[in-house]
Amino acid sequence: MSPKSIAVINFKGGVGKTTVTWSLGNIISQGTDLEVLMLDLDPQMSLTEAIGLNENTGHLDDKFGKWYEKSLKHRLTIYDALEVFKKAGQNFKFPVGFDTIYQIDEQLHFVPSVEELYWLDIDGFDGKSVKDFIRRFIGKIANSANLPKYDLMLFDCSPSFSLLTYSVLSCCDLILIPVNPDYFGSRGLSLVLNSLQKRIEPYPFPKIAVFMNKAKTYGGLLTNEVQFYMREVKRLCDEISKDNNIEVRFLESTIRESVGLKRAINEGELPRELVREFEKLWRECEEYLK
Amino acid sequence: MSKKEILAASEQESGGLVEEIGELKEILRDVARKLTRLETQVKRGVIYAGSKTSDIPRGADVNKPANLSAANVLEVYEELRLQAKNGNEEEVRQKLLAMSATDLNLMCCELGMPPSSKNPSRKKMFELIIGRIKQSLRLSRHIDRQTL
Repeated sequence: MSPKSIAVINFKGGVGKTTVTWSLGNIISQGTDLEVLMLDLDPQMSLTEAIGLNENTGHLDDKFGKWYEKSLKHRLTIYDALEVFKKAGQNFKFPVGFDTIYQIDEQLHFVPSVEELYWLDIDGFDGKSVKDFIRRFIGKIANSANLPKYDLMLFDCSPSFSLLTYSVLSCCDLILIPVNPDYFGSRGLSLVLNSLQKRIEPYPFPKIAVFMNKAKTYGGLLTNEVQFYMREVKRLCDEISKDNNIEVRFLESTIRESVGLKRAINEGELPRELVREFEKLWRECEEYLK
Repeated sequence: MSKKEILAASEQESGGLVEEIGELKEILRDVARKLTRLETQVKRGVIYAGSKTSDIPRGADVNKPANLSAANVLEVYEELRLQAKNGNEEEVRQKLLAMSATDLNLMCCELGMPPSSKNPSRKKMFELIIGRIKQSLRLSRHIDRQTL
């Protein structure tokens, strides 16, 4: 069975894409028997840095640092795979293995980002040549005898409609959009849905799920402001689904604002109060993917 | 004229002058009173004219019990939003004007914008609610270059 793929996306920066990707990967790999692969497609490398950086020394963690240098040196990163794909097209051959995929733990593996992804747009890559890249790349991973049979792939996308984002959106099963409870956060959703409608190929359109992230609480309850934006975002999802005949679902799961969440990636453990919220989010995504 | 006569004449003259000065002072006081009265009337007139440009009643007692429940105000807000969406802005305005200060205050709170002061003006609450409605309508607005 081919793995399910979820792209975490929002063209607005700072909504929490990286922490959501990591938290879901963490929760699913620790709480289920699923094999999870996370892929960092953002040239800002936030997820890569968060996983590899040792907060105490400010340098890459020894184990990850050595592995990453080796992967760069032997040209086995995702960017190198993309370069090969661009030249070879249909005859794409790339040795995907544990030199391209880093093992965080037994059930959670990771394809890091590289700085060169910044230059994709001006390095002679174009939409057509990149569009099928992710489909072919994950196909190679799924068919590799040297790798586990991943059940789920989680993509941390860049906050723009980059070539790689385009490639992921063209083949993923679910687009997961975190939004924040403020005007610009909610407006970002409206803009992203509007442009997705125009750009995603091929049809049928992937399923889209939206949820509220960084929700403020007071006395354990969501504030009225958060609830106001939740109603607005839900209405937006319903209107877009109805007007454009696509599936946009507003999830009931809400992830509350937590100071400790960013640090959690370095420490490798989610704050206890957020575990249940991410578990609920995953259950809803899983149900929606069926 | 003897010295005595000269002194008596100058005393009489200065007494007359003092009297005249007193009369003039009384006239000036009267003028000042009239000016003050006029000034007050003019000020009142300006305020009255100003209040006519805004029909939002001044003074708001948000401590009176609310007529609507929290769920009700959200329903009312939704009605207002739809009316604004359909371009009936004047109706939205009139409905908000007809609501009590307590209900306006409750609506502001339910929309996540509790007024900053304990006794907010109706004007302030009115603006907050209109702001939320406009924000809601802007959220789903897109400019399609093809239709321009």
